[in-house]
Amino acid sequence: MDKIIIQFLNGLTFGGLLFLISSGFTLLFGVMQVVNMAHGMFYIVGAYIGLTVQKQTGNWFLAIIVGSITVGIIAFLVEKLIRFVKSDLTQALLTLGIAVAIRDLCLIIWGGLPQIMKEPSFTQFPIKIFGFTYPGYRLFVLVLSIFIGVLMWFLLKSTQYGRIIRAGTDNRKMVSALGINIDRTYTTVFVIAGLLTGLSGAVGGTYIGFGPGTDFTILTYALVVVIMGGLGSIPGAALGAVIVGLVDSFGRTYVPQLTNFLMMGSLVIVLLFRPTGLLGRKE
Amino acid sequence: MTIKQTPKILSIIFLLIFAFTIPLWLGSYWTQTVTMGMVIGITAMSFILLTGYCGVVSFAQMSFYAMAAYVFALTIKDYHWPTYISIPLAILGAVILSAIFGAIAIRSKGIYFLMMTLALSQLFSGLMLDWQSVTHGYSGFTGVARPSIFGFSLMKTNPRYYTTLVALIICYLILLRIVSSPFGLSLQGMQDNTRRMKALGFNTDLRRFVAILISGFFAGIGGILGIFSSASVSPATGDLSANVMILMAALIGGIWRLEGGILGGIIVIFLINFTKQFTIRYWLIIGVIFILIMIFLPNGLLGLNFSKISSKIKSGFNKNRQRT
Repeated sequence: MDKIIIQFLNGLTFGGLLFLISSGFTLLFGVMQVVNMAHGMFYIVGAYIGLTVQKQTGNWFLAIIVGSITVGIIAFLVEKLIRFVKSDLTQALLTLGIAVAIRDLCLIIWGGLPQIMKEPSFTQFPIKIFGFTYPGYRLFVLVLSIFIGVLMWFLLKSTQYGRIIRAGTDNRKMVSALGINIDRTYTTVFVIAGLLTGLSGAVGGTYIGFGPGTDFTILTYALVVVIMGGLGSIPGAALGAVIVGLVDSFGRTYVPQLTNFLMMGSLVIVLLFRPTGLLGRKE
Repeated sequence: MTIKQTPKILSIIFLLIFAFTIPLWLGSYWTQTVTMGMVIGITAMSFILLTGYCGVVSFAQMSFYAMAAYVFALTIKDYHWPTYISIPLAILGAVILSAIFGAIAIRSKGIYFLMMTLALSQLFSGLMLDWQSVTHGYSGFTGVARPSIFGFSLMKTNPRYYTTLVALIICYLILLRIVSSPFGLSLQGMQDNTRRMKALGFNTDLRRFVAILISGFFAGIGGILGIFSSASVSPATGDLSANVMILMAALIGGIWRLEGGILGGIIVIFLINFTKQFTIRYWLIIGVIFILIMIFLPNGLLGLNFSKISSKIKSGFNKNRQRT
């Protein structure tokens, strides 16, 4: 029983991290219909930059901020590059090319060994829940992801800018005709998605180790989360993240060799009953 | 035979002579490179069957390839079954995997199909990595014994080259027959206008599903020839980089024609092996070339417009279709 509760908490906190990871992905898809194949690359660059900054300065917060901003800048450049092609498929494939090139660049710069960032000092104490001790950093990730999720939800639903973004999703030409610079809005969304993913990279790089290959793993997690939750839906991503987190956590404990099979199975079951994902819009 | 057809037939004969004499004037290293290129070419043709004729981009072709290679390696190396059982079993494995993936992904179209197959193929690759008791984990199978065909041992480079070449030609002819059959035409019809085909009484989902099975079958053949060629299979065989390679082959050659896959496959493997001689980090260069091709040569070498695919999927009633 103890084990089950611990695994449940692990799944929940990992789900929190997964939500942080996939929120940028689902935001981009929901708003711009862009499938960002470079998503895993964004994550791993955030983690590597964070690690380097932390090694130099020892400051975790600075590492998070620098990692996030670096990825924001990369996202800005990627957005400028994919303007060259028109269709959503070619855009997706172009980001894939960028991802493949930069993952190799990361391998040249940071080498092939798995790395992990040090936890910040304020979370380095175990917290007691239901009589168990549980690492504080994981709970911090859960709280952070809930905070960011609520913030995104609020920004999209209740601010003028959020309304513009949502309107642009439905009818780009009309919003443009109303005198709003939709291109600049899209660039902003891309940069926000980059900042979020860079943040998740640095936060996640402290949570789980990373190395060459992590980028594709992260892309897979993000894909499974958003397909399960419903493409482009932020609450859907939250729900999908929790499910994938729990499946992953219990799978790795009880059937470590077949975790991916379980993941595939749960994806199939969800899509059997809800073809567009749990909270997805009709296509 | 009319006079008009003569140059075409002559060029085909010339191309065949050229293909059959390659081992005579290329060294064994480059013969091996061309062999691998043709293997990738077969898999790229299975990709083009789905992309160019069905209008969906599949990121799972290398999973089918890897599945066939894994089944072959497992039955040969761990169970010591004879070759004539393990080859059909391997292809069956690839077809079954394509049936599973197809059943899940069939309802999604366009970019959704791409995401779905990508997620599934990555999960499959992860399964091959984690399921150590069967797949031997990270290193996979190495040194898988190659069989003899008609008395020629496939341990040697040249018999392997000719086996692959003959298989390539047969696969190409069968695929050509398939895409020009009524079934193939109905696939192209669905790509243009699914709703109208449905109204005409075609079971569109079933036909698309069958197309996925066929592509799985040919990717499986590619997998078997691939394991003859490289004698090893690992989770990296079916991962995203490998799928990018297939995609790049199809894009370079031209996405609308089967020949594009063959041409692209050989070019991509040449490019990789050529770059490998100078640097171990060849994906950086390949990736940059890939980006440049996407931007400046979206038509592929055999020349048609790739971006038409998604516009075709989107526009429901596109009547003016151009195909050479």
